[in-house]
Amino acid sequence: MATDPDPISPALEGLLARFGETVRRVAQRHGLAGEVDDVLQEVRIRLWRARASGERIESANASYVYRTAVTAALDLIRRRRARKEDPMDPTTFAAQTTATADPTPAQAVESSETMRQVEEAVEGLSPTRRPVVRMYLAGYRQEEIAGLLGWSEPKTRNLLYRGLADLRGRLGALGIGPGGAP
Amino acid sequence: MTDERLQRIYADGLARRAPADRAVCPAPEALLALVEREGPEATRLDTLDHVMGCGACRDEFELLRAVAGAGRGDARPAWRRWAGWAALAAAITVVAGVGLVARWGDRAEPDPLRGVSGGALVLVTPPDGDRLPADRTLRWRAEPGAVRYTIEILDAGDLAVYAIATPDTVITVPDSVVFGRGDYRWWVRARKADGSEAASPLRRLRGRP
Repeated sequence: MATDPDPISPALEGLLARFGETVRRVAQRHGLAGEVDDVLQEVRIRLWRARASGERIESANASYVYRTAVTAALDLIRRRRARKEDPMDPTTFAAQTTATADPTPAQAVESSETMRQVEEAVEGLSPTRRPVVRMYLAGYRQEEIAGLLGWSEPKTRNLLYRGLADLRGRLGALGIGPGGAP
Repeated sequence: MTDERLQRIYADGLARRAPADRAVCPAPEALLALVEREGPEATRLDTLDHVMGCGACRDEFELLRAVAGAGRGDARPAWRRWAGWAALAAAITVVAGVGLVARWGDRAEPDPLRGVSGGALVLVTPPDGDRLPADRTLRWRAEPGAVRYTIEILDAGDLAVYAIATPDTVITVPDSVVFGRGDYRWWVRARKADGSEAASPLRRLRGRP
């Protein structure tokens, strides 16, 4: 590929670099480095095009880069969905959070059955508690849940506590829990 | 079964759960609304419920979350910043011996006339535990740099019975909001021009039938 004949301004380049570094740091935890690189490349292209079209981006601030990155990320998601490909290698996150040895066939069957029962029990929770419990079970901390939903810490703790108690009751009825399955 | 074991089982299942037809998944814009906390809470809860049960949507959500986190100036989402301020304000309240009690529903308040240092948004009237005034207004102090305030009234089950956003520092609760006999709480969050947020503590409120 030819070198960029009209690079974006050094100030904007620096801004983009800092932005990219932060996004990568966050995304790496979830195994999304490849997707982030795609998004950042798209942001760079869009900024370059904006400059080529005469738009004044030299003085663009961080929010301009942010909005461009959000739009690029949304477009990336749309394109992947449209291609009906494996969207974002959904095994990556699990690979990070569940570093366990390969199960035996018998263990796999048992695990699969337990998984189904857990999902069934979660489905039975009230609509207010269910998303909170799901998020907790997916590995998010209580303060992350509160922040995402804009809830106070006590409210989040209360709903999560009640939701988990309900879930344990349902799992117990299915024979999973203290004295039930491991 | 321990929480850790439950989480491991759920995470394993989540990684394998991706619908064959993504048409059932929320639109990318709905995922962004969830990340940016825009739109009705009920809608965002529905989206979150799906996202946390769908491996494909969860990864898309994380991508948008990473971008949003960086866009706010650091990897820490804005809500964590106001959560930190709220925690600091709560700690100050404890040190001042205002009488914070362990039960969350009985949380005490800083003196509304003196305000509170540490960045928490200050509620003015009605005082903690009072009945909604006859003119049905809720008032709070202006937060420097705030462009919008979101007010929520929560019932005893922590569900929002009323929520509204305004650039002003006072709202009038409409007559259509009917209060029962139980306890209520209200709080205000301020969104600032730089994208950061400040939040008040929860304040108890008795309804006006």
